[in-house]
Amino acid sequence: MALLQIAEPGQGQAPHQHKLAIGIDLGTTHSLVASIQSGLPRVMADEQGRVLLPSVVHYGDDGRVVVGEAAKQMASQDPLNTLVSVKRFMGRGAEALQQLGDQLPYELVQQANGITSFRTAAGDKTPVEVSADILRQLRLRAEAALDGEITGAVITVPAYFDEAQRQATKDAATIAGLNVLRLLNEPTAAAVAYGLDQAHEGVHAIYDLGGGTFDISILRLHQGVFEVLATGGNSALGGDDFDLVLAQWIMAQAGITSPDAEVQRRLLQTARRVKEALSERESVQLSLAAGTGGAPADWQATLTREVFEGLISPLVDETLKACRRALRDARLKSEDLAEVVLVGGSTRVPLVRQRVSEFFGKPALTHLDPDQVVAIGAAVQANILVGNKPDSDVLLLDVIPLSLGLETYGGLVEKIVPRNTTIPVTRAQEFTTFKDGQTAMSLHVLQGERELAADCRSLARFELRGIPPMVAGAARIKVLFQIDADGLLSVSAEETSSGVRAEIEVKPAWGLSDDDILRLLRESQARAADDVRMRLLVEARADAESLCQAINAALAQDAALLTATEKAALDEEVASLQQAMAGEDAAAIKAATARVNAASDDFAAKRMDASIQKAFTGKHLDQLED
Amino acid sequence: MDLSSNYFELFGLSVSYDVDVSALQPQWRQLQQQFHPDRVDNQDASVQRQAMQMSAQINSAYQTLKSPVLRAAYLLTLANEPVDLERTTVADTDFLMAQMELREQLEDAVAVDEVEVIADEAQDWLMNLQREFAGDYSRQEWPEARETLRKMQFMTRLLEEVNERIEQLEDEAG
Repeated sequence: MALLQIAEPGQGQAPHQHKLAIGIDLGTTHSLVASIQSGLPRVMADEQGRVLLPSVVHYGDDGRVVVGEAAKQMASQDPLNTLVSVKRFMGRGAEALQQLGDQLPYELVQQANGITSFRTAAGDKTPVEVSADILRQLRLRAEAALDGEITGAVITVPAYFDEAQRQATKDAATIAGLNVLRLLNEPTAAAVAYGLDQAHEGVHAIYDLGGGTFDISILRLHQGVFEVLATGGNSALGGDDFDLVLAQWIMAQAGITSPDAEVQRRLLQTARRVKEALSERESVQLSLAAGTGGAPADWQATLTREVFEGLISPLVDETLKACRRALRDARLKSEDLAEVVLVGGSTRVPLVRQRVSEFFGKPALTHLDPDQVVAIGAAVQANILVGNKPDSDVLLLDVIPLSLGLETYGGLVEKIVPRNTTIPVTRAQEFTTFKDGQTAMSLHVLQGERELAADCRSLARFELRGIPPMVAGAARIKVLFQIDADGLLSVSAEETSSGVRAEIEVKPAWGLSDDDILRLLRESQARAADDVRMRLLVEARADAESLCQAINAALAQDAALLTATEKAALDEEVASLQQAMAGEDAAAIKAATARVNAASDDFAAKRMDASIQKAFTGKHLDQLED
Repeated sequence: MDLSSNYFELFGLSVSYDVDVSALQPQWRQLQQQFHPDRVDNQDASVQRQAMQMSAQINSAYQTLKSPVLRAAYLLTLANEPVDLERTTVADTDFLMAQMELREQLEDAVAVDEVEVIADEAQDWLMNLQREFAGDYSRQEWPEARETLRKMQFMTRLLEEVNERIEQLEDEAG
């Protein structure tokens, strides 16, 4: 083995030039990006000064992709094309997607290659592609703020994310044109951020309740090393579920029986606002007009914090159960902990703070912004990983959240790597054939804690073929599990007497193939080569195109409303616009578009007059109000 | 020190069953500080891969050395006397009977403190077995060493079940 180049503390190799590195918290409800500049963490804001980018993407029928606040505002009027909480769908199989999809107003489609996508006006989009659009937006924001090219990014994932969910996240980042330095567990990132401002030695619990995921991590900080002792949680439990139970309560109380997608969306938004208000106030007034989603009458009620807490209490209990288990896995009692740190926007809910403090028997730390702490920790780690701090002694030693194993005879699971094993790790296990002359062996890789294969998450299946025929039990099949520092798994199998090998990088059946990723990456680079100029050009062309189409359609219908001179003048402007569209100058296209608009003003007015009669007849008043 | 070092060499220990488990953790941390891919100031893929392998090796060594059962099994492998823990069983019927009795008690237990009594008993037993194994190993009595190791495996499994039972009872209690 060649000698490793080791970075000795205080003795960096070549003098470093400062590289741009970012940390991204890709959240269920919102995402953000941070970087370290002049030694200080900075969370980057958009033009309006907002640091939180809502994790919402709107796909328009003109192919336009809108991310963030603007997309969120389209959620009510265009729910089918506005994708929210897409993190919940990451790396999930068709079945899980369908199940989640039932709660949300999306149209899901199964592609020929087994991948499930959302059907949108801009085409079918996989959860990975939607996440990539969010990540791309953050990358552009960072590039603009830092004025340069990003060397690499650390992307955070819930510690409890399984293999497939991690892989999907990494794929999304690749498609977004990011060089992924590391996938980092969110609670570990938070611990790093807290470790920044005070040198805390000892064992800490990080309780991280976000919009859609819950994580608990127990970690020990000693001389710069963050050692994760145990982790647990639920990748499908978060503040969104508080909203959901509250929305369901409102529906039951108000007698809403048949909410359509829009009513559902509005209810969820209301529930969210009510939840937030109840963090500050003791009660909130609610009212609903008759007819909403089939409600029989006007409805009014006062919702107290107490009632709300009763609704969410079982969900909070669920998180504490995971805390108990994590402590047990770490072989610790709550009194062994130095501190409890709260992370994630949902820890603003008073009941959560109270119950967590009670459970651990100490007040919970909240002095860093729970929304920002994860991104800051990721930025710290990114800054170290690109080599900007050669004398830092920070090292993160994380664990796998769920056991990995193989299906054995009778549908049982043999655990190869138990949960909470520190990564990276390599583990080998020997198996043998159970029939005389057996020449192939099928391997089924599983993740989870249950004893039956059917109850665990199936990650991959592959076959080892060409085993030389031997009597049962004579073959020596060595199966090797390798998990890298991102928590990603590859499995290989070898018959050791003959050297026959088979290998697989675990990619679940519904994941993207490397070819898919490459294609999407090229597409994204084509789009990213877009910087501002390209984007303006594309937008200008799209606007011009839709205007031309509108005019052509109008002319086909109502050309008779124009005189010959008027029509000739309009045709001339349209021709000059089409010429501009063939070029690359966005400003010229915009100017030509404006001229066409001006030239068609009269035509539009005439058409309006002619058709206004038609619009009034045959329509109900409520339709007009929309 | 490289990938071909055995786990004891990696941790600077002599090959023996007696290991000061509490000293492993600081040593492990120090090794990772040196070899972890995040500490290697070179993004070259092959260098990173080597660092990954070395770091994985250090983690495997740490896991193996600190576990009474894995450490024992590893020693037997190094001595070319490997034991297949999955496919062999204990011949000592007295041990098996005693073990079954503990299991029955575990099934009947309805409170955490009852289970904890069983846990203490299993733990004592495991400690004695560890001493026994150290003796078997140093005398190179391989069949005895294998038998003791299998018993340790049994007890470790029982302790796992005990922990699961405690977990279950605590969750039920809320």
